[in-house]
Amino acid sequence: MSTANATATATRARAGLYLLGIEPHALSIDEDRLIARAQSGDRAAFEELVRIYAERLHAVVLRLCANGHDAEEVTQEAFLRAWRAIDRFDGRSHFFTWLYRIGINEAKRHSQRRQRMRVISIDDAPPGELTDPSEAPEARARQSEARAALEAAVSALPIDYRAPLVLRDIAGLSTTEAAEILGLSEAAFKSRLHRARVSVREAVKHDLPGEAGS
Amino acid sequence: MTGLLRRGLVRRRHPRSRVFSQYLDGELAPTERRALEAHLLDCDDCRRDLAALSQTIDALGALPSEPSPNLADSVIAALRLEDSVRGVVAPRPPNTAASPALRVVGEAGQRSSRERKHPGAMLDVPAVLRYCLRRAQLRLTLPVALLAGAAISLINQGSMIFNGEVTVGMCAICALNFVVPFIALNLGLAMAVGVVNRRRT
Repeated sequence: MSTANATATATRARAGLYLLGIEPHALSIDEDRLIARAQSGDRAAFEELVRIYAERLHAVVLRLCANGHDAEEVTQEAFLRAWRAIDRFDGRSHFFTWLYRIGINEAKRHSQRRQRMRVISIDDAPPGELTDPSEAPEARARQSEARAALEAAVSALPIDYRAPLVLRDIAGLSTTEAAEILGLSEAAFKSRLHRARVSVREAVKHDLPGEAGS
Repeated sequence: MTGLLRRGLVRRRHPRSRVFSQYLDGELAPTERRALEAHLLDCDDCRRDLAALSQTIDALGALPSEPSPNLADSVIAALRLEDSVRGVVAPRPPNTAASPALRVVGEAGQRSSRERKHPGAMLDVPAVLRYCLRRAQLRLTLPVALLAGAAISLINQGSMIFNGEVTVGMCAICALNFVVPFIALNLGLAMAVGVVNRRRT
């Protein structure tokens, strides 16, 4: 792959990463109004914020939890916490930054509780595979294996390294946004992100197409 | 950073791998980017490393998300339940100026009123079951149903239990004391968030 191609591919990937195709700032005016109403006790306004952000928060939390059930619980708890604390949201950061921070902290708490309990469940398998039925069976099997290896490599990362990777490379947030959510300096964020990327790359180097034997 | 990169290129020849991340994220200064690109022209190893990192990042970005269709409904039900437990009265949703999402909630409420007049006529049983048997939902409803069932059993069958007059019929009634509040609570929540009748909308 040429360097130009490599850069272009990475840029394309990240440009298409914003989950559900929603630009976070596009809704800022309506969102400000909803937040103001929610802060005055209007639960209906907060419920609309839930409808806007539930799937996006869940998509991030899913990568930080052991399974889909845990992710739903964490997402729900994050929104409950956000509703209880909505009057403490001061508007200095974006609402989604604040919400993601609550969600990630909740996921970390959940993960720590789970480690203490050492619960092993059949639900702990990585999220299911989505495949394109039009692909050839061999290609689909290879893609499925590569995806499973990637999922496993991400899941194996310590959560302090997984969170930067999920926010930056999977959820498609900018470095500044993701660092702010995690409460890290940009330098510290970049360092963790890079270590996480290298760790994943090493783990999947024989599974990704074109990597085998390189 | 420029100095670091220059030192890396001169002393070690190869740049540090962190520079590849910054390059792919578009975070290198123009001079650093040009220096790296010049190095890449002559270095197969670094080109391969950069391509591998880029491919990994692309693959991460292509990981499918797993949608959770009723998640927002479930969160909203939990919010309402928590507020009702706290005794908070929710403000009425706006009428004409309501956003689409608020209108959906409002219409769901109106449909629920209609269904109370014609129970079962528009009940989407699989959707209600899916909603009610979600783990997050059970975490809410089971404790409430257990409390209610225990209270009803103690009030109605308490004397028989404490006198040791345990019969099969009484056990069945006690079981119903738990089941009925559980079903009622679930149906109420399902209608409140509009899960009932969803297929017909």
